[in-house]
Parts: sequence; structure tokens; C-alpha cells
Amino acid sequence: MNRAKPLSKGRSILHFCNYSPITSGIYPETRDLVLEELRVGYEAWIVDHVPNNPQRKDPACHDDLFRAGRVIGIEEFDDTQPSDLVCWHSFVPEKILQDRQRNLVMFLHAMPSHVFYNELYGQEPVLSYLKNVTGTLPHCHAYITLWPSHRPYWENIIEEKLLVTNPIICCDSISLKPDDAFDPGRLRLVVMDTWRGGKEPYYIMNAVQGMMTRSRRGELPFEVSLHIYGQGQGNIPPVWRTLIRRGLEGFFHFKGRDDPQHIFDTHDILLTQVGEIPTESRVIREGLLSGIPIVAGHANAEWTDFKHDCRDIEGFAGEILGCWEHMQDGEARRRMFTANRELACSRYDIRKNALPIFECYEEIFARSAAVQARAHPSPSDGSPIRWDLLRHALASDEAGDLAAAVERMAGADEAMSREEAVLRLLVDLPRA
Amino acid sequence: MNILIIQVLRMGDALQLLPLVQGIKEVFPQSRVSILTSTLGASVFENQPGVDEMFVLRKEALVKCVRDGKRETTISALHILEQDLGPVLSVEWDWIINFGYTFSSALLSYLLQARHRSGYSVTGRRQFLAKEAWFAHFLASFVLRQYSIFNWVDVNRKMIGLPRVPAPPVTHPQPDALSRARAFLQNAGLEERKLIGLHPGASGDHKRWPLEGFARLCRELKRREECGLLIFGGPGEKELGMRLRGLVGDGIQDLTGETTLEDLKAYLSLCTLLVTNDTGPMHLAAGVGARVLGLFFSTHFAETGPYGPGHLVIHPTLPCFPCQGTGACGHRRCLESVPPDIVRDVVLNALGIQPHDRMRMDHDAEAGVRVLMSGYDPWGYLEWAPVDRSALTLLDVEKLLLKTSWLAYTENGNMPEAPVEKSYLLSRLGAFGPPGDKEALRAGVLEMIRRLQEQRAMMEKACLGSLEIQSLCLKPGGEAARIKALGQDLEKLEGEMSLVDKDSAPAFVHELLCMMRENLERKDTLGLSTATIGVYRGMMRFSDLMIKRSRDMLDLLSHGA
Repeated sequence: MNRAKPLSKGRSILHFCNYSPITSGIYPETRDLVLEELRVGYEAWIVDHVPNNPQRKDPACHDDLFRAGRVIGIEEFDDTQPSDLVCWHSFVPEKILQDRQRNLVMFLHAMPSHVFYNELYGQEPVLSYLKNVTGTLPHCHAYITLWPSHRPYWENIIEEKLLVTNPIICCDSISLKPDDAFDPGRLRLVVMDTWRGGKEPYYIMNAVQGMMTRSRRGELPFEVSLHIYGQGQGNIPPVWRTLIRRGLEGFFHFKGRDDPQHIFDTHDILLTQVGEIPTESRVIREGLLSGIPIVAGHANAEWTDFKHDCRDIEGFAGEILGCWEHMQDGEARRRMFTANRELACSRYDIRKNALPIFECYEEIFARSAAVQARAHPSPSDGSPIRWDLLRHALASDEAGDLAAAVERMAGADEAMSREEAVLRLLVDLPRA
Repeated sequence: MNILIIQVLRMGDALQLLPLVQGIKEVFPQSRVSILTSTLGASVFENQPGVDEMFVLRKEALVKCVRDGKRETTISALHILEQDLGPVLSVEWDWIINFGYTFSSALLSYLLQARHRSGYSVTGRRQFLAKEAWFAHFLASFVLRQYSIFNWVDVNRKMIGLPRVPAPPVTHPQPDALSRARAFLQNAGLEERKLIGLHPGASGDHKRWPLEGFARLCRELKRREECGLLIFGGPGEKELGMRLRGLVGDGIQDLTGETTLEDLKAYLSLCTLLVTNDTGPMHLAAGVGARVLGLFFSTHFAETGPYGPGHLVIHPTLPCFPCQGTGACGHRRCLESVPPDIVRDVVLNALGIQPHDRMRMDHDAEAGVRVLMSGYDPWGYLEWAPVDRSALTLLDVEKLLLKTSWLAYTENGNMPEAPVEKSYLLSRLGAFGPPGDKEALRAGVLEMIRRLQEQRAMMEKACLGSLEIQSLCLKPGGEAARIKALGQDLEKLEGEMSLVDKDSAPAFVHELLCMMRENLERKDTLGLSTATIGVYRGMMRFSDLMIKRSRDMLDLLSHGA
């Protein structure tokens, strides 16, 4: 049964986040959240804090949210536009931050250790900022993280409300991969992680070469290839190619970018190195939704049966081969696909996981005296109807003309008073 | 949670609400469910298990005072309003649900304090609207009634997000009323008979089957020893009941004006069948689990028919059906077009006395009738299927397409798989007889596709226009003249879109678009343009769903029908 509480439909929510559907990062998570907010009846927009962002100018980078008119550039944004809530994802202009009339929640996307090391090595002092402002930003009503494994780290820094939810994904965004492309003679491995510290496929590239060599020698009855998305042929630093044994170059393919669904559909096993805390990146969530088997390079990755510390490259390679062997049986393979998708839907479905976030929003709306009710604004703020005023208004009209009384009560007021509403009610009741 | 339901319409509307009230209580069992209703409505909700508290607005008294038009009586009306609304105003409601569609119900919602509101309301800027898409569909059906598809119960439950409502019975007679009813029937020697209730009255003469029709039916039925006949009606229909009894003679019990609502409930719960015009007691009968045969002349059974499976309706197949009592046709042939022998056959079949294959139907195109039975479709919505294998028409096909497309649009990915929908369409098409002119039907569907495509292209143009307005709004400092010019272009385009044949599915799509646009809150130009874009995109998606399904339908018609 549906036990969801009704939401304050029509509330406006601004998400400050850079628009980057192509280069991934925070944007896809924010986009999914905005789409879910729109679905349940909130009015939500993304405000791109990158001025004149080229990705907004390029039609090839326009996603559905952009085309729906829900992405506004900061250079075009009118900062006097009121809103019921501001969500801070990557950057918020100072003027917005200082406006105490606005309600604020901050989303903590990054891995706490990355934030620390960035600051340690001279990048943005985010942690210091967080430590200093907690307690002094009275209109920041909540800090939200989508990663339960980050909780103990943030709890050392955030003193106020820290809401921890589960990772999110729209289960309709990726469909189950078909089984018709499977070829037991070709093992097509794929890597899709974003290239940044610790997630570049260094260990993976080392691990797969043993298999490739054995395959070339005929010791394995299938060809092994590694397809690496995220960096194209033209911009891969030369040092990466030094990792590749002579003669194996043709089995490594640096592919740049492609549609994730197409990638999952046309490859066999997704490999991922995983950071020091094995959180499920977007690639992993999307991969699970597609059903593609995943071999994780961290022994504590809960979301796959195939995992091994990738720094032990031979052991990691053995795990890949174990997964491939399991896939030889058609029934078992299809069961793996289905089981992965079921896992993704049960763990990450945004329709479920966004509910605590919306409950947080609703608490803020209910609490805030500064909220402008937009759904069905009513001056029903507790102030009593002035019945005496109404009686006087009617008594002073000899003819008892209700319609005229309505006009007089309305006067030049833009907003309808409750007294005017009462008179309109009397006018309409006989017609109803 | 404190929930308030506003329902201050007529008694029939209140009765139709009963499954919804029960449904809300089932989903929110810990909540306190209250109703703000009129005096007539109070008799419906009193003793109703799902209702924790009732607030009565003496609407009838208020209307009387206001209509009087004098200053003193208007002030009296104000006094009544203050007294009746006082207790409701003092509560801070968590959720107010307005199931009405009148300005007064919207104003009531506005006046009360609430965290959340569903249904029709009014903004502080005096704009009457409802944000729910299902409400827009409901309003579109008001305008183009021949395209009514969903029962009002289903529309309202989807509006507030209820997955389902309880199956009948949703209301039960009080034990003492039931005892009284049984005692009466025993005294009348009817306790072993199949009881057939008859309700010859209705709130307007455009809804009333001629009394002679009822009389002929009763004269035939009373010859059947297994049948017992009861006439029902309110105090204002006593004369009608007496006339009917006079026409029928002995062998029929006239209870018009003799029953309270509780008594009526009790009798109806003992009836095997109620034969009735479109009335409040029709919904009461459905609510207590009695079977109904509804006679519909100027109102649409899809919208206000009895809610639940196994009910029957008969309606004329005139081109002007349903007129909602406007009488625009000038002839009122609908009332004369339902032959009593057809009603008799349907009644006897419903009682199990006459097998189905002996049902005779007149399929004359000018003044034929259709007989339909209610059931639930695979998605839980009430629907009506012909039991008489009447010929499939373009309107039938259009309504099937509008329905499945609307469900796909609103369910947003939660629809059952495509094979379920295809199997459903095949079974629905199979319930009809072959079309009179198969080629004309195909041509009609092709023409509809062509018009839908044209319409969609115009929507896309309007969407791009709105997007341009939005972009200009976001730039501080102006271009007001350009925004105004674009707004005028948009109005002109919308004018062109409205030039669509009124009796067509694209006309319904256009009406839906208009209703969605009208229900956008007119705040700042930026917000409005953004919301407008959303509506156009949504309706383009709906058009795409219609076009695809229409093409699939052509295949089904070729191979399946």
C-alpha cells in the first residue's frame, strides 16, 4: 500500500551545480534528483555556476533536463528570484549564501579523504570552511550525503543535522543488457571510471596482460581485449602506453566517450579499481542496472561476488577469469544479469532513496517562516477571518449586493484576503 | 495526520465518494479523516466507518438566504457561514482534499489552514486551478463528454495517489434498518423473491426514462413469480411513485417518500437488482454491493456510472449523446430510444432467468442502444464493455487509444509490459461486433494519425516559442517588447491549434492541452514559461504515445478485429 505522505507540490528548489552531462561528476546525481523532484511535483532547476559554460552552448551536450528548460546559467540567473530551497552541490554565490531569508541544504558529494588531501596540497580549503561555518550558517538546515560509508568521516566535522541516504539512480535510465552479443571466443573487458586520482586503470591494465599473453599463445580458448572509456586515443598521456607489453598494443582500445547503454550491451565484464572506500560510483550503479557482471578491485565491494584487491594483479586476473568461466553457461549468465539488476533496483532506486531527502525538505518548509507557499498560496496563516469587517461591509450596502461587496473588499489588492474569499464563496454557492 | 475532505456538492456526488473515503482510511489508518459536507451530504457520511468527524455546512440554508438578495438575509448567511466554518477554521489540517470542481469548494479549500492541498483550489492571485494532471483530464472530459473514459472515483483516486479503493460493499446498513426492511418484505410476502428495485425519478427530466417505460417493464416482470418489485424515490418523487403503481396495478410495492437514507440502504442491500436512472440511489446501491442497471440518456455512464464490477448500463447511441441536459438537439429522442423489452431482457438475463444469447438488440444506427457491463481493466480502472456485440465504431477505437495512451503517460514507466496492453486491446476489440464499414474505420484512424502529427508539430513550435521567452526572461534588463511579441505569436499559434474538428480524438488532446495550460499558476513570466514548456513537452510525449498506438491499432484492426 502507498503510505507516502503528501508533499508540498509546487515548492521551488534551486540546485547550484555545474552543468556537466558529458564529463560526469556531481551533475548526473543532481540531475537524477531534480528529475525525481519534478516527478513528485516540486518545481526544480539547476543553476550552473560556471559562467558561459561551453557545455550549455553546445547542442551535443544538451540533455533532457536542459531541453526542458530546467538549466539556467549563472550569467543569466536573476539572483532576486525567490525560491523555497537552495541546494548547494558544488558552489553557491556569496550573495545567495548570505541571504538569510533563503533555506539552504548542502550536499556532500566528494569522498572525505579527497577533500582533505585536496586542501592539504593547496587546493580549495573546503574542510576548513565546513568546520568553520557549521553553527554559523543558521539557514543551512541540513547536510546530506548519499554515501553511508562516508558518515563516520563527516560526523567528525559536521555538527548539525547530517542526513545520510543511500546512493540513487533512476532505474529507467538503463535497461537490462541483451544476451545476444555473447561470444565465448571473445572476452571484451571494459573500464569506464572517470580518470582521476586512484581511479585510473593502472592496476587493471597491468592485470589483464597476463591473460592477453596466454591467449596469444593459445593457452586460453578466447581472445581478450580491454576497452577503456574516458580518455580518447588523442589525449592519452604517453606514459600509459609504456605499461603495455610489446605485441599487445592491439588489444588495448582507448575509446573516449560513448553512450553507457551501448557500452554495457557490447561488452562482457566491467572492471573497476574502486577507491579506498568501495562506494558504488555511478558507473557501477549503471552497470548493475544493465546486468553486466562486474569485477571489483577491492575485496570489500559488497555489490558483486567477483572482487579481489587489484593491487594483487595476478589474483585480480584470476578473479576476472573466474567470472568469465561462470558466464559460459547461458542460464547462469542470464541469471547474473537479472540478479545484478535486481540488486541495483532494490538498493539504489531513487523513488525510494529520495524519500528521506524529501522528508528533510518538508521539515524545512514546515519550519521556515520565510517560505513563500506557491502551490496554493492562501493567507491561511492562522490569522482569523474578520467577520465583523464583513458584516460591516454588507450592512453598509443598502442593496445587499454581494458582487459589489466583493469588488469593494478586493479594492486594488493584488492578493485576495480571506474576507474577500468569504464573500466570493457566498456569491458562488447558489451557482454550485 | 489530520485529513479533511471537502465535498459540498449534491447527494449523488457524496454517495459516489464513498469508496474514496474508505480508500483513504485504509491507506492512512492512523489518520483522522474528517469531511466538510452539506446537510444532504451529512446523511450520507453519518455512521460511515471511515469518517472520524463531520463538519456540516448548511449550504441549502445559505443558498436560500443569498438568493433572497436582501441585505438582512445576506448578513444571516454570513452568520451561518461563521458558525459552520468556525470549528473547521480552527484546525490546522495536514492535508485538505477537495473532491469538488466548483469555485465554492476551491474557496473553502483556500480559507482553511493546510500544509498540503489536493484538488481544485484558488491562489492568492484569484486564479482557480488544480495542479494534478488527472484533474485536467477530468475537465477535458467535461468539455468533450463523448470522450469520457474514467469513472469519477478513479479520477479522484489517481489525483490523490491512492493505488486502489476497496471493492464494494463500502457501506453497510444499520442493523435496525435492516430488520425493519426484512420485516416489511416478510409482511409483503416478498422475502423469498428476487427483489428488483425501481427508481423512476431523477434530478432532471433529461435523465428520466419515461414512466410508461418503467410501467411496461414492471407489468412484464410482475408476471414472473420469482420477482418482487419495489419502487424507490425521495419525498419529492412520491407522486411519481403513485403514478407508476397506478400504471402497473397490484404486485408492486411503492416505497417512494417512505424511506430514510438508512432505510433505503437496507432495502437496496437486499435487492438483487436496481433498475434506475442516473441518480444518487444508484451509487448507494453500488455502495452496498447491490447490482445496478443504470439507464443513461444525457449523462455519461463512464464518468458517473455505478462503481464496481458486474453493473449494467443501457444508453442510446445517438450522435448527440451525452448532452448533459442541454437539449441542444431539440428533440429529446434519447429518452424514447430505449425500448422496454430490451430493458426487460437485460433484467431477466441479470437475474439468471433468461440466457444471454436470447438478448435482442436493435442496432439501427439512428436510434440504437448499447448494453454494457462494468469490470476492471488490467490496471485497476473501472471500464465498460459491450455485452451485445454492438458494431465497433471509430469513437470506440479513439477512446481505447486515448485511454491506453493516457495511462502510459501518467503511469510513467509503471505500466504493465506491452504484451499485456496488446492482449487487453485485442480482448476489448473482440467484445465489439465487426465495424459497419471496415475501410471507413481504417481511414478514420489514418486521418486521426495525420491530424495528431500536425497537432504535434504545432505543439513543438509552441514549445520552442516558450523556450525563447524563458531565455529572454532570464536576462536581466529587458527585452520586454520582444517577450510581448513572442507571447502574441504564441497566442496566434494556440489559436490555430484550436481549429480542430470538435468530434475527434485530436480535439480531446487539444482540450487536454488547454486544461493543463489553464491550470498553470500565473506567477512571474519566467515561472510560467518554464511550466508551459513542461506542459508542451508532456503533451508532445502524449501525442507520440497516441500516434504509436494508433499505428499499432491499424495492425490489430487488420488482423485481430
